[in-house]
Amino acid sequence: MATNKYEHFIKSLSIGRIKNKQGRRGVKSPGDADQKMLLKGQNLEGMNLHFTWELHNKPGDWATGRNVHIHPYPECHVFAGLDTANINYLGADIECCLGEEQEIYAFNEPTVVIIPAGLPHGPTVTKRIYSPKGFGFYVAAMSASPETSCTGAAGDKNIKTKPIKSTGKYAHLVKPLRAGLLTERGKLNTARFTPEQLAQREEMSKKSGEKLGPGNADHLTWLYGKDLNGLDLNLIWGFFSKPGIWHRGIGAHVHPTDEVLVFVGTDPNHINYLGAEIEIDLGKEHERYVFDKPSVVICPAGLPHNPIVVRWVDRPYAFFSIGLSGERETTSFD
Amino acid sequence: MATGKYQHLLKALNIAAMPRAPQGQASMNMFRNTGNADSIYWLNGRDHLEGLALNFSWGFYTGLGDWHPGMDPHVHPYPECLVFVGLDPDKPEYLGAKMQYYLGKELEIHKFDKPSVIVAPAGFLHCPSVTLDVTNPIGYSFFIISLGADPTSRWLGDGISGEQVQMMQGAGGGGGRKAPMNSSFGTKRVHVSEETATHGHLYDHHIKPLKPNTMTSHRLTAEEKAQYGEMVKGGRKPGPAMTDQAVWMFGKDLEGMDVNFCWGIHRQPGVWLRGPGSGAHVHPVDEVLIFAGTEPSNIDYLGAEIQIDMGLEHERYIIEKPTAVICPAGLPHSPIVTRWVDKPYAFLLISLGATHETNYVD
Repeated sequence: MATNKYEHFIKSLSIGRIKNKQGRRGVKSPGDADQKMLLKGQNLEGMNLHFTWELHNKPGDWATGRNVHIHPYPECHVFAGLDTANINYLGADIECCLGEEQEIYAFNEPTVVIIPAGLPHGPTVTKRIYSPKGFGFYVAAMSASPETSCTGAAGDKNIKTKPIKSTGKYAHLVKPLRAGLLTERGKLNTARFTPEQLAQREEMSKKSGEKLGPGNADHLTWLYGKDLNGLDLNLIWGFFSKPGIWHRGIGAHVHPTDEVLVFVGTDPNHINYLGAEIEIDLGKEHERYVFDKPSVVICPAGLPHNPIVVRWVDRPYAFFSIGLSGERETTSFD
Repeated sequence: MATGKYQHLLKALNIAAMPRAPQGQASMNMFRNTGNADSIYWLNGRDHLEGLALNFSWGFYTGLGDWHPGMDPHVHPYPECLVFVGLDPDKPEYLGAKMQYYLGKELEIHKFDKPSVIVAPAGFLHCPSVTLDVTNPIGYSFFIISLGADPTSRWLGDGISGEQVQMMQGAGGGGGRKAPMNSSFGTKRVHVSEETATHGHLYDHHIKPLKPNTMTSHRLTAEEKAQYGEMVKGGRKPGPAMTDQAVWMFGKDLEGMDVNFCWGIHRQPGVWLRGPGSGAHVHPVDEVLIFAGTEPSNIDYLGAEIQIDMGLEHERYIIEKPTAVICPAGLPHSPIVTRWVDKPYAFLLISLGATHETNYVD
């Protein structure tokens, strides 16, 4: 079992729990998440990254009184459903404003909104909720800590205070997650690949012996930098429900850039519940770590990690990863 | 990953391959055209199991007829269980064969067509074993659990030929290798025929049906809970990889033998037993855990990948071939996690005590 050399690379998400029953400035924003985690770079062993995990179940403005704001770093807002049988179901109508013009972009399916550094954005409003479970949301922000400047009425005079209808100027920053659909109902989404790419995958699988294990995703989407307006970022979102190993035929691997692997539950009422027990190996020594609470596994560039083995699942769980490169270069370690 | 400290406790079943026959002759040719095994491994404490007072076999069977023509009945100096099991993962009570077995000096005939264990105390005359019919198109399996390190048989049949005697005595294959079975031959031979056999019920209690009975198949009674002890206490419960078809027989079910065994076909990945802590436990007696495939055409195919932790250090070992894991008394072992399954696989636990006392260490 673990000798704890790498224990600091696994953190329970509960260390970032935000109790915001009262909301910002003592005012409860109606659409804000009741349950939310925020992990900053200081929680992530100094990574140039912070992220949130939030469970939303009410309509309304997410941040009353803040509205338009900017960050000096890029970030992605990932709106994901909690219907573990259908990764394309969000269960809500969302509007978010982008640009100094505050163009309104509306969507009702799982979506990532890409916010380049310095782009004014907000407010975000949940117009309606259909899903009895609400929906999940995470921010992946390319900075160790949040830094926000409010604009609009309280700041920059150039920023409109009234959102306007979309002209399509920022439409390229709003991407449905289905654009990256890789696995659906446990099967590879072959439509995503050209015949040449498929042949290449098959050839590589034959050579390496790698194939999907029984613990792998039921549904999974994976967006790369090219899908994310050229950001040095790649994002995974997926649902998992079965025990067993994630990948057969391979051991540990490394990436040349940092990444975090985030395991979260799908019980809308209990953000601290994972519903599964998972083991992962870290380091060239294959130190094994086991967790059964929502957790982040921090994988600095070059740190061997995997395999991942799911011991049991009581309730389907979700997984997202944030890799700090547009491509996801992976090298087998053993 | 494993440092190998406990590697010597994991034995691939194929280390006990039967000696090869001379070129041009099939191995096991003594038993061709009989009901005996198509393929078999037989491990013993002397050569393979770190000195444990145990020898056990695992094999696949499709043939009809007497298993050892002319050689039986026979006796051993130790007690043993002869276990007939089916290979259909959906029908745990289907053997797929019809068997006839002779028990005792009375040559009492018994027939059965369900998975069953025959208990043969030390010195108890048993066999011939005759396969009357095989109804499952892939056959069935059979294993022996014998409580002796050195497999030893005394053959009492009056039909053994001089050639057979010579073959069995030279069965080590030369080169100083010991014979897989120490064979001797009775001076007073027994003739088996319609006339010498009997049809009584003296030994009915030596044949027990195997019916799923573990904690995965039903809610345990207080008595059953006591049998499993700590395994079912403190929130411990079956994990997804456990089968609901397992059969667990204790000494009290086996005519008081100092053995308990569990048999089942598993098909799901995941951890075997859920519960608090890290899941390592010890027993006050030796135990062997055997992972075997259910593909009769290839006895060396497991069809799954399984990890088991050994020692207090939780050294992890990965099993992907049919393997026996030796757990000497007091050695912490577990958890067991099945990583993937391509084909349902068989699991046999043999514990060298009448009860199954378990103590968790972490």
